Amino acid sequence: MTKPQHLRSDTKQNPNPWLRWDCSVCWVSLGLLVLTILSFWSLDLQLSRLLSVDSLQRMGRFLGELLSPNIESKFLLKLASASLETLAMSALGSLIAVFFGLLLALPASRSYTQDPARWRFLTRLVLNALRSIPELVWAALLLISAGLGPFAGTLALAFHTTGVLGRLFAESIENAPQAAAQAMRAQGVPEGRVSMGEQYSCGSSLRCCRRRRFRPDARLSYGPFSDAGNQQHPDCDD
Amino acid sequence: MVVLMPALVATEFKPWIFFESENLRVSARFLGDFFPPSVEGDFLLLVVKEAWRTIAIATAGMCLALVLAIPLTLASTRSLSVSTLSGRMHRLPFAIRQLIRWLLIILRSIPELIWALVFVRVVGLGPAAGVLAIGLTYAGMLGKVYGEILESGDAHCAVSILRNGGSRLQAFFFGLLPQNATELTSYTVYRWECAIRSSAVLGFVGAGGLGQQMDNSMKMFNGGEVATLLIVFMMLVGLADLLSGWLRKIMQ
Repeated sequence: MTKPQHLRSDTKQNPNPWLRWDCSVCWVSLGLLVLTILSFWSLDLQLSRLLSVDSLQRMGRFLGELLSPNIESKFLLKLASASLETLAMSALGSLIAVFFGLLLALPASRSYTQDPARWRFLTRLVLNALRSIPELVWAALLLISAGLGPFAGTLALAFHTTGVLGRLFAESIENAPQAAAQAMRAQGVPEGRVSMGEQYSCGSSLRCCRRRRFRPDARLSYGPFSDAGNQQHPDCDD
Repeated sequence: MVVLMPALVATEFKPWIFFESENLRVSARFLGDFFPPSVEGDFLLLVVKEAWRTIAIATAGMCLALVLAIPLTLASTRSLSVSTLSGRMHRLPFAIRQLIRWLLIILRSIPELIWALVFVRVVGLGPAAGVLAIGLTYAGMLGKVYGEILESGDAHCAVSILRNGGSRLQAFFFGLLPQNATELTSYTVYRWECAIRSSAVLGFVGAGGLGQQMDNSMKMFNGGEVATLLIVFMMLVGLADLLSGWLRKIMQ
């Protein structure tokens, strides 16, 4: 018969916790160290080129140009309309994402213990796919069918954010207090209206998620998908 | 509706554009190419190499970010100020701390994509631009959040060490670090996961990695390759998710 775990240890093992074989923190740190060294070794960063006189000069020139911002009124006007466009893109993208996020969150959540939740796995898969592809990649994919312009960007935002919000909403529906929904089910209220009731009970967390998602969206409008992007990225003009 | 209308106009919201015969044909052909995903030996090898590059860029970038963020955090944390022990902070240390805060704000308010564009111009195409971009942006984020974590914790230990004549570094290592270590590491691991996502995107502006490959395949309208890349991409993100979840769990 073998001894219990806590009696077996300490007799042969090193008393120093850092030198034991089962020190998971040490192994993880060692792994991270190896990963870091391998990364630097395999990347061929050409640090000599980075620190050469030529590139330092270029960097200096660039920084110098940054210190004298262009404030011609024509350019500023263009920027103003571009900013409005950016704002409109993120507002509309978030709006679409909230709608579809909620729509997908309902089948993606198991709201009570006996809930069969038949569509849960499939919708979660879709939400994860939507979420793990970044906005920029969505935009590049959508360019092919929607063409250049803010529309592709808006849709890309909507796709990615739908994935993010859908998952968040699904989780907050699953974590929401069950009393109200149980009461409604007990009274024979149809399932569609029960889920509306659930959304009231996790209302504040849903609202805050929506507000939080609005902010990073403004960033994506950068890129070849809107005027704001084209000002900085002349490569995309062709 | 009043707000929505201008927004719809500004974003040129025209869903029917999808159903024009020309667009429909092009998209159908492109999507049709997705199946089957390209699995030629050469291409797969390339994809694996690029995926490793993506991870390597993220890791090296995080390393750079840590090198920048740790000293900045130490210099800007208010809990390590000696002059606050007796009333208000002196003017000079206050000014230095404020200056570092602004620096961190500037670093993180410029998205990594824009840093990458800048560095692609300066150091040329390649992973160096991606590493620098991630390093700078993430240094700003890490510096800010580290500072917040350290300041929100219980300052009592650090204050006692400082009062009894310990140095600031001693106060940090023996007063602040032990109680905040878990939170700091779990945030760092989370950021590493984010760095992997963003290094895949940075490839689109020429900073190497999966994104660059995807850009190439997309320009050639090669649906099969794009499909393979997307699958590898999702797998990579999922893997980073799992790994960082696991790391955070064993750290508890």
